[in-house]
Amino acid sequence: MTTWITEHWRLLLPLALGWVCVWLLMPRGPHRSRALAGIFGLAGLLAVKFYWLPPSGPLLQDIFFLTFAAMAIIGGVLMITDHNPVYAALWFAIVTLAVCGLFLLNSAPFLSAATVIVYAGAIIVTFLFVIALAQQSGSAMYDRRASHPTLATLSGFLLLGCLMFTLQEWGGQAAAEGGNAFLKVPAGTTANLGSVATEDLGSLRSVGRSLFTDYVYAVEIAGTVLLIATIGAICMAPRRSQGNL
Amino acid sequence: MTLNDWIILLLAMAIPMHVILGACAYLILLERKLSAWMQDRVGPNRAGPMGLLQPLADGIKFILKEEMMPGHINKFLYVLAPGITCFTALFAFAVVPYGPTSSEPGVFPFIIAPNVDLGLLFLFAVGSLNVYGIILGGWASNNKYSALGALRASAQVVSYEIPLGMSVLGVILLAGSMNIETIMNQQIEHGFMGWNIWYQPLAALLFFTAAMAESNRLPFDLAECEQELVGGFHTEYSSMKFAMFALGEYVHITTLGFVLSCLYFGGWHFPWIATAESAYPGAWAVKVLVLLTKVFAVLVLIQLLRWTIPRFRFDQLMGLAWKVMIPLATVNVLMVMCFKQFGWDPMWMLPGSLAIFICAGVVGVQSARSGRSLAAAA
Amino acid sequence: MAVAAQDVIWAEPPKIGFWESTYLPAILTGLGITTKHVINYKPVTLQYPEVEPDLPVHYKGIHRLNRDEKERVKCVACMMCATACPADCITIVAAAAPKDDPLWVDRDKYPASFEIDELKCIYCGMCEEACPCDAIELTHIYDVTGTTRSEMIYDKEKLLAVYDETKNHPKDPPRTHRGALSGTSEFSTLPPLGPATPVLNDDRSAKAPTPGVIRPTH
Repeated sequence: MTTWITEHWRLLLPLALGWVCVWLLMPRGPHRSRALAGIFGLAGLLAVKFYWLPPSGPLLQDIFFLTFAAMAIIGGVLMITDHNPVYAALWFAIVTLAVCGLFLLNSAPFLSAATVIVYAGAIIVTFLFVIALAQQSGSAMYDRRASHPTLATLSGFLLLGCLMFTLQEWGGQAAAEGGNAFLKVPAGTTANLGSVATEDLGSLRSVGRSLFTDYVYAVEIAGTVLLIATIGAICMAPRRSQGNL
Repeated sequence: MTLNDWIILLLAMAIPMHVILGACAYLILLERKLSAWMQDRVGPNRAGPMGLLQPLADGIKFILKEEMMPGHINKFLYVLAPGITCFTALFAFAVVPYGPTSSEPGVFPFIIAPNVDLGLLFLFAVGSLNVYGIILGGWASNNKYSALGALRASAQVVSYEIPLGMSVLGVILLAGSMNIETIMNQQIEHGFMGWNIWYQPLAALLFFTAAMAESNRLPFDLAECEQELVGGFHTEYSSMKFAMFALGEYVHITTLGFVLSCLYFGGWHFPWIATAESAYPGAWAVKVLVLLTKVFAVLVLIQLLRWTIPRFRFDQLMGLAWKVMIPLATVNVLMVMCFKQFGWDPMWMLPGSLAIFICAGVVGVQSARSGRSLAAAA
Repeated sequence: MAVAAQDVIWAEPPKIGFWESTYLPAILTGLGITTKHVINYKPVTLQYPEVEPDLPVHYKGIHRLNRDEKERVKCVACMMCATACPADCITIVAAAAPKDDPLWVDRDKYPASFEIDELKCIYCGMCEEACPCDAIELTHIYDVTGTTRSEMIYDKEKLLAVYDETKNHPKDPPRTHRGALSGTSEFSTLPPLGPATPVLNDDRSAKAPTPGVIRPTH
């Protein structure tokens, strides 16, 4: 056990620091130790940065990556810890936009723009408005106080730890093979990348071709499911002629 | 990049931005004058000859006016909202060509960001962020009128994004690209009969309508109708922050005018005076002027429509989007797909579009009659 | 109370034809109308400070306080106008007329102070109708402004000055087509066929056997 911890302290340290930060920030009545939480959070981010920094590319790209990544992480933490649900929805929008920026950096402009249109443009706006209209008489009890802060944060960070551990395993293997730790493709999906010409990588053309050749069944099934959901919604919606609207 | 390239890049950014901001001020004057003429009035005529200095006077007034901040607002979001509106409206202009574009180094590009593969998708993505300005402004004002206006705006913009996107899909399929420059240049290569309006007239109509709804212009300005909502989301705004909302709206319709001209009306192309072959000295200026004339015509049409059609009721607005425009746009895309798949002559797209339009009209008449007979039976 | 079913009349929406359902012809017609107005541009508005509007004769502006034949204020301080005023904007302080002064020898009362708050006034003309001696009348003057509220409270001198300014103006006092709004005291008996001022042909009130009473035509 102790040997495992000493072996993986660089993975465990940021997780622990981050957990303390989020745990401190969780809404629990009027008193919050923001300063302390901020120190822990910054320490956690720095610890992540030193161990998990992607292979450094051009300076500008690194700056953008770090900015977007930090925006996404900080926005995510603030999203789940903010008292005000409207601000929480706005932090969610910031997280989405930051993730879109990361997509752009990884030459996936289509994914980035589609995410902005669908998530930031439509879903979060609707979401935001429902929240803004629902909170007429101040924030409710469940907004001022988290119900199980310790358990919730612990399970969340446990999940994150598992995720990072598996990623680290891959990254370690790829690094050992002399490849790029963060562009390693999991086994079984290499066939799909092979159908795309290298110069087309990331362009709209290749995305479309990949969607309608490699993933045609998935796309069709997803489309059918959405169609069924739409028809169901129309069937369940009240009808004017039946007098229930 | 050499120093020369940097200068060209900066100019390509700075010139359109400043021209647009100045043009918007004069578009507001034009709108006031046009509406005055339509209503048999004189319009603003005090500042300068024929009121030509009115935008300047307005600007001075907006800047010098007292900065009103109501006490019951959410300050941060209240200040942020007009900024978002202005920023997204100007940001969307990055992929819009404003002249004979080129991506060669050392040549003035006539577009801020040349060769963006995303093109239209970028435009829609940034345009969809525009609604944040309205919704945050409406909510942060802590005023029921503003909240209602913002609610209407968000529902409207989210609904009209779908026909807006679907109506350009036909053009995208025809050109095989989402890049506005590519779409424009392909039309120009085929001359006057290559303009997309001859192949996609229905889509152009849908795009124009959806674009007006998207930018909250009359007759779709339910978010800010004065009679019911005292001004909607900007009820609590004054001075420069109010001006920024108005500026955002005007930049938005200007951008949409450019996009409409470039997608459906051949961009800077005009028979005989500005074609792909014309290389006489000063041709670029003529090309820019042709494009600007087209944009100006679109803007004047929008302003004429403002005083022609009364404002929609909200259920009519939603009905128009979901029951009329989205099915029509879908059928139009299907038609283009059939033409592409079976290699039919694209000249038949014009009668095809007309046929779709007539079918929609017949279906509308029939469904209205059967709906009435159903209601009578009930 | 619920409406009985047989009393309900369902209004049917008009039948929509093919072209109406496509919206386009109506929009194009409307565009034609707006464009026509832009092209044949004939403004109907007045450029106010340069061109003054020609107001109708019954336009009711600010008040004046009339003078009698001896240039005294005509008002006898009877308080009828202040009582009639729906906006409660007239304040009169009455005083006994100075009997030793030969000018006032034939009068009992006169207004020591007479103030009208022109900001409160709704320009209804009730004071003018109430006045038994035609002392208070409205005038055609509409463009009065002031920088303070007290400036807009017109006292006796100001109101008399308004009279001096407007006494020869053809539009004063405001009147209907039938004649002056007030002026009952100028007739010793009611005229049998209406007043002496020109009467329009379709003026039902003037044709009535009793002037001033309007009967519905059949």
